[in-house]
Amino acid sequence: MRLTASQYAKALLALSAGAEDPKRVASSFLSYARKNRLTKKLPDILRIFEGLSEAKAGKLSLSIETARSADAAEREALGRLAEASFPGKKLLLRYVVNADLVGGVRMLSSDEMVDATAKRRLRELESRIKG
Amino acid sequence: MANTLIDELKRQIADFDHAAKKEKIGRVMETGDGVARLSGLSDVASSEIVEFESGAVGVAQNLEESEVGVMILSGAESVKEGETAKATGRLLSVPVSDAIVGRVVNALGAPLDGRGEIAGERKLMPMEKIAPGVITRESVHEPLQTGIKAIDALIPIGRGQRELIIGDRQTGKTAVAIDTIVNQKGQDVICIYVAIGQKESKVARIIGELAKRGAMDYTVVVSAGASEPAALSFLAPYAGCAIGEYFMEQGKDVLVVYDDLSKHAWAYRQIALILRRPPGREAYPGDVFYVHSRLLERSAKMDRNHGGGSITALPIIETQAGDVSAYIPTNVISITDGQIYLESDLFYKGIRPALNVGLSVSRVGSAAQIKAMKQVAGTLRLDLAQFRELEAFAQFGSDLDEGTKRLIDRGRRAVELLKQPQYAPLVVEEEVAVLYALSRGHLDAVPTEKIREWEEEFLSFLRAEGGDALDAIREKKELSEEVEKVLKGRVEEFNKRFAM
Ligand SMILES: Nc1ncnc2c1ncn2[C@@H]1O[C@H](COP(=O)(O)OP(=O)(O)OP(=O)(O)O)[C@@H](O)[C@H]1O
Ligand SMILES: [Mg+2]
Repeated sequence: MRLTASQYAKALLALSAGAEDPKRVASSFLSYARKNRLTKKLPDILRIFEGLSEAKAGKLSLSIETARSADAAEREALGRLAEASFPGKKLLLRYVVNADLVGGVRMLSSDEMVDATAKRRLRELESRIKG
Repeated sequence: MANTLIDELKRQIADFDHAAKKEKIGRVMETGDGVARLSGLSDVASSEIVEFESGAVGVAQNLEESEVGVMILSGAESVKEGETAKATGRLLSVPVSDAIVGRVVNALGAPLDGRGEIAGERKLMPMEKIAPGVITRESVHEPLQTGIKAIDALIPIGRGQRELIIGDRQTGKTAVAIDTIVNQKGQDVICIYVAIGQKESKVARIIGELAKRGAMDYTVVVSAGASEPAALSFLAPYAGCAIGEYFMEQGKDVLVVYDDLSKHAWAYRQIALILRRPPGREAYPGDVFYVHSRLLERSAKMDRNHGGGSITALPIIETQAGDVSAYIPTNVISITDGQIYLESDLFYKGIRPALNVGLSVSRVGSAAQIKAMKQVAGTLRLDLAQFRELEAFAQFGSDLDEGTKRLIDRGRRAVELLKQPQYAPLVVEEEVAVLYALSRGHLDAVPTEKIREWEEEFLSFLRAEGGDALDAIREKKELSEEVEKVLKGRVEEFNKRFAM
């Protein structure tokens, strides 16, 4: 029976929860993965595992993208905005410059986004004009 | 610069709350071959349209808890790993108006014939749809004449039926379907020919033949060519069915040909392999059965309270070396109401259409046959069955008793009479007339090698001088004593003239 990446990730989470030695859990999981030819699935498993364990700890990784780099004051303002948009979570913020956005800001978690970029508006305008 | 940025941010922050809301996104983990695997998008629906950040558009396919497979329909080149994608809340659909008749479109309903947009007010017909329930259906009872003698007599098809055409490559599968379309001229049936993964040149030839016979006046062609992405081949039959539903909802009768579902299954297998779905039997994904049944379930005869329209489906399956027990053939056989089985051996022997009468069946169509056809078909079936049993003995010709010889001779003539060239469909009264002559022994004196010549001349004679016989069958729909008298008179009159 083949399991999905998310089933493996959940199993890994359950194992690591009660584990005293995370290193041992990691290495035994890796050798299991190698034996069962799961190496292709590993990146997916790890990605999902990361999300699950963050969520369990009430944490959330969020990247804040702006078209130009933001200074300390701006970052603080953006951080407050992020907390307002993703309330109740301990945010792990990462600031990213993405010139493609033209202007404005967007915030991305692994599966949610708040998009207030100029690029988005331009696109909306474009589709409204095209009909 | 920092100031302007701050100003801009302040302004943006001011709109932020009401302009930008939180939305679900997915991220491209992997992409290639017109398919992408996305993480996230946990609540996207199957067949929902997904828009990528780069502008590409796709449709959600297989859904697992933490990832989604997306078939990319446009802009596949621009999709990059790591980019975001959003669900749109719209399900994949084809825009259809009455003006789609006569047009050639792709699997998304976009014109391929260079004749501009489809005119008129277009309705969005969903590609995926739940099949009509039993309460709105009615049993099959009106005939769908193929114009092919062997089929209309022995394997009759009714409106709303699903009849599989199955056989090896180059056995005349497409020809049966195309002749059936050609025969719908003037029958108030909208035809939809779905070409799945076929060479573009082959499809162009078919369209040319249909147009030459005036059949494009009531036909729509949906084509997903062999050189196009597998996703389009996968979607083409659903598009064809959705177009059919548009007309069925208007109470019309529709015929849809899926040519062919073997290539459809290959396209699905290819997509599934790229999406890394665990392969099942013959490497097809486990739900390929469901994929086909979901499609064919949508063929139906609606009852009067639901407009009375119908969709008749002629799916085609290509077998390898006549093996009907392979995975895909068995699946489709089990979800259709019968099959027209074409055989290479017969085809090469010159028996065309290469119909294997013993293995072909129609489970619901006889309810739709007119009585006159039932009257001549009964004896024909018997003649052929006896002939098959005795054929082996025929090699010892001289040792046979008279009775056996007569049966064999009758059988040989029946086989000969059931041959029919392409693009020469007959109306039902003509079919009845020639089969009547056979069944009542009027051909016993005609040499086997002259049967086809006899038929051709007899039909010309009826059309020119024997209209009363044809009219009588058409109007009475049964061989009553008086109809039979007229018909018999015409056959005897002709036989006197025919140079045996
Ligand atoms: N009744 C017929 N009489 C004479 N020739 C025929 C008849 N039916 C089909 N043919 C010819 O046989 C060839 C194969 O027919 P067709 O393309 O319909 O077969 P097919 O089973 O659909 O083939 P493929 O596997 O390539 O799709 C064609 O050249 C066609 O013109
Ligand atoms: Mg064919």
